[in-house]
Amino acid sequence: MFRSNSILATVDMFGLYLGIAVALGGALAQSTILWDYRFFGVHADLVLVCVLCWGIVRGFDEGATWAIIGGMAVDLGTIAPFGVSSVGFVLAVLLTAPLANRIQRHRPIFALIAIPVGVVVHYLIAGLIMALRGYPLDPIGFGITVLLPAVILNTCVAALLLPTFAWASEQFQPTTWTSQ
Amino acid sequence: MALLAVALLGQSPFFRSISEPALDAIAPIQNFLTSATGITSGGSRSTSSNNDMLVENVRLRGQVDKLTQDAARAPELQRENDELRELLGLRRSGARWQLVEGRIVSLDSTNQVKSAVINRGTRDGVSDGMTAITSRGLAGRIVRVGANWSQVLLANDPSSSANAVDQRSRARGVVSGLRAPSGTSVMQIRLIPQGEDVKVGDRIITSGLGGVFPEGISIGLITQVRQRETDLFQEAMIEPYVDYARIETMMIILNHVPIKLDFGDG
Repeated sequence: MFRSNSILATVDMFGLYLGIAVALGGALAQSTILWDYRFFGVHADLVLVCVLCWGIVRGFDEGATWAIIGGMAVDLGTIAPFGVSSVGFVLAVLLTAPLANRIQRHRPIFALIAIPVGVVVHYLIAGLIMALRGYPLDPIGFGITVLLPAVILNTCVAALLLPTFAWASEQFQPTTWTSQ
Repeated sequence: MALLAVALLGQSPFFRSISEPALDAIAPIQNFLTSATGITSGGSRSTSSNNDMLVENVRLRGQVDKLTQDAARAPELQRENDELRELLGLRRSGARWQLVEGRIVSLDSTNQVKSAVINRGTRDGVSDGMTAITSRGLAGRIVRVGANWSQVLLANDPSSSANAVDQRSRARGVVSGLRAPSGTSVMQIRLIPQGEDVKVGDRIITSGLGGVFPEGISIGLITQVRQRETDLFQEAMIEPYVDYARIETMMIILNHVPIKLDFGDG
C-alpha cells in the first residue's frame, strides 16, 4: 500500500487521506443530517456506499483500507459492538470489487449491479455478529423493514457517487512512466 | 479472523478506552451539526414565510404533550392515592424526580440499532442505566456515558425491554420495540399471563418491577391484542406516546438509581 516510489506514494497517500475524510464526514452525516432524509425509515449508508464505490474503482486493497477506517468511524456513533461495521464493510468490498471488475468489462455502469450485493453482505454480516452477541434479530422483519429499503436507497446513492469516484480516481491514476 | 475478533471483543474495556475519548471529541461537532441543520425537527425545511405557523404549531404541540401526560398520569395518581389511604402512614416513594434536560445531538449512525446521543454526561450527574423520559413518556435508558455525552438506547429498539403494567387491569408484561415499515414506532408487550384482562385502548405504563425503570412512566396505548388458547402468554401491540423519530430533547432522571443484580460471586 505505502510504496517508496515518490509519485505512486503520493497517489496512495491521497487515497488514504481521502478515505479518512470520507469516513469521518460520512459517519458524522449519517448520525446527524441524513436522519432528515429517510426512505421508509432508513437513511443512506453513506460511508458504506463510498467504500464500495472506491473498492470498485480502485480495487480491493484500497477499498479494504477505506472499509476499516470507515467502519471504525461509523462504529463510534452506534451502540452496536465496536468493529461490526469494519468487518461488514471489508467482507462487502471483498465480494463487490472482483464482481464489479468482471461485470464492468462490458460497460462501466454495470458495476452498479455489485452495489446491492455489497449492501446485503454488510447487513447480513453485521446482523449475524450482533445476533451472536445477543441482539434479538427477526430475519423477516429485518429484511423487509431495514434491508430492502437500504438496498434500494444505497444503490441510488451509488449511482451518483460511482461516476464521481471514477472521475476522482482517474485524476490521480498512477502511470507507468513514474517508475523511479 | 482478526476483524471478527475485534467485532466480538468490541465492548471490552480496551476498545471502550479507545472509542470514548474519540466520542468526547466528536460530541461538540455533532452538536454543532445538529444545531446547524435542525436534525429531527425538519428545521432545514422551515422558511421565514411559515414562522408564525411554526411557532403556533410548537405551542399547540406543547399543550398536547402536557394534556396527554396529565391524562396518563391522572388515573395512576388516583390509584396511588387510594393505596395511600389504605396504607396509612406509608409515604409515597419516587414521586418527585430530579431531572436534567439533554438535547439529542445525533442518532445512531447505523440503521440496525435505535439509539441517540445527548449532550449530557458524567459532568451533569448522568450515569449508566439511568432512565430517559420525554414530556410524553418513556424515551429509553442510558447505556454509555462520557464526560459531555451519553448514549441512550431508545425504548423502541428490539433489544430494549421494560417491565410494564396495564394501568386499568394491572396485568403485567414486558415491553420491547418492534421493527415496523416506514420508520413508524411500534412496540409490543409480551409475557402477559393467559386470563389477564387486556383490551385495546388500555394504557401501558412502567411497573417499576426489576428496578431498572421507575414506576408510572407512560409508554403507550394498546392497539391490538393477540391471544391464543394454546399459548402460555398473550401479547399486544402498543402505539407509543413518544414519537421516537422526532425526539429533540429528553430528560434524565438523576435520583432513580437502577438496581443492578449481580449473581456472579455467590
